[in-house]
Formats: sequence, C-alpha cells, structure tokens
Amino acid sequence: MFYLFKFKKEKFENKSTLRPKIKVLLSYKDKAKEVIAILDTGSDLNYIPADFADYFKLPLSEEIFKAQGAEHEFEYKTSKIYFKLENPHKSYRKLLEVMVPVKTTMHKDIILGTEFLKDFIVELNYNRGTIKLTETKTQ
Amino acid sequence: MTYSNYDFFIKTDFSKYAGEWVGILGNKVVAHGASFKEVAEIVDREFNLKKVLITRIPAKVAQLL
Repeated sequence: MFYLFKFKKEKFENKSTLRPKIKVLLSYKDKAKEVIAILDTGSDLNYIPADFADYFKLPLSEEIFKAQGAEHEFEYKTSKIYFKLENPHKSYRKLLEVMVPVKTTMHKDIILGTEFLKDFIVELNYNRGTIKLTETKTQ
Repeated sequence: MTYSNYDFFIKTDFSKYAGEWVGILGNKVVAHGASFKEVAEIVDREFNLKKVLITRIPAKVAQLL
C-alpha cells in the first residue's frame, strides 16, 4: 500500500526549490489536526516545535537530551504522538516518538526523519515532482 | 473549482503569508496567525468539525534542516 504526495515549489531570494512536504494527521487523546510535515532523510528522529506539544498537551520526558542541529547543539525532551497517513483504500497510523525542543526553537516545521521513514520505501522523484511512500510492513 | 486542501496547498503561492501559519479549508485560507497553536485554536473555535490543513509559510530564504 502506498501514499502519494507532491513536492511543494517554494521561492527563496530569486530562485525556487522543491520541498518534500506531505499531509499528516497528528492526534493525541481528543485532539487531532491535519498538518504539513517535511521529510528529512538526514534526521534521526521526528521533530515537532514546542507549541505543538503545548497544544496537544503531550507528556514530555523528564530527561533532557542533546542533539546536533545543522549548526548548533540543542536540548530536547521526547514525547509520543499519533501520525496518520490516508489514501482512499487504507491508512497508516502509528504512535511515534518525537523530539520537542526545550528553550531554543531549532526548527519551525514538523520534521519526519528516519524514525518515521523506516516504515516505508521512500521514492522522491524530482523530475515528476512526486513523493511515494510504500509501506514495508503491515501495521 | 474545489481542490482538496493538500492539492490547493501544493498549487498555490502563499507568499503573502510568508512567516505566518495558515489554516486551509478546501481552496481557501480560513485562518492565519503567528504560531501553530494560535491557528489551531482559531480552527477549534470556528471550524471544529471540519478538516482544516495547518501549515507554516516559510520566509523567502534558503532552508537547511
């Protein structure tokens, strides 16, 4: 079973680029929101900005961990939230660990890293502008 | 023409909202604000049972994750 998405063409300065942005449904207890997340094969874990954790009232780990961002180290706690993908025939739904930054916001977007991507064969076709996520196991 | 909210997101230039978070319902921006939480709370108040897609519109600068 696969899920199809498209690259989002976005501008910066005088150029444009293609960013792998997909729609996911985030949920925890009685709250759910459809959001855009960016795929990042270079990230080990999934990441959500702190105000997402605040909105969903996610319980955070007591322990604080350190991670290496693109330029700086930053501190984070961990939590878990449900991620759901849908196509007309099936859906993927899984409770996944996420990093939640403490003090400094490293990124403003939801980032889906290896912890999410390892469940799929990931095909990024920049020529066609398509993103295909094929499940590698039954959930 | 009515698009799904994701198709509308992919096809539309939202640069007038650069730096903000927006809520998309069908082919309309129905909420915008400075943070995810602010937009999510507007959506809860005004569009509780509808599927509104929330996303950040990046500023026009290169990104390095």
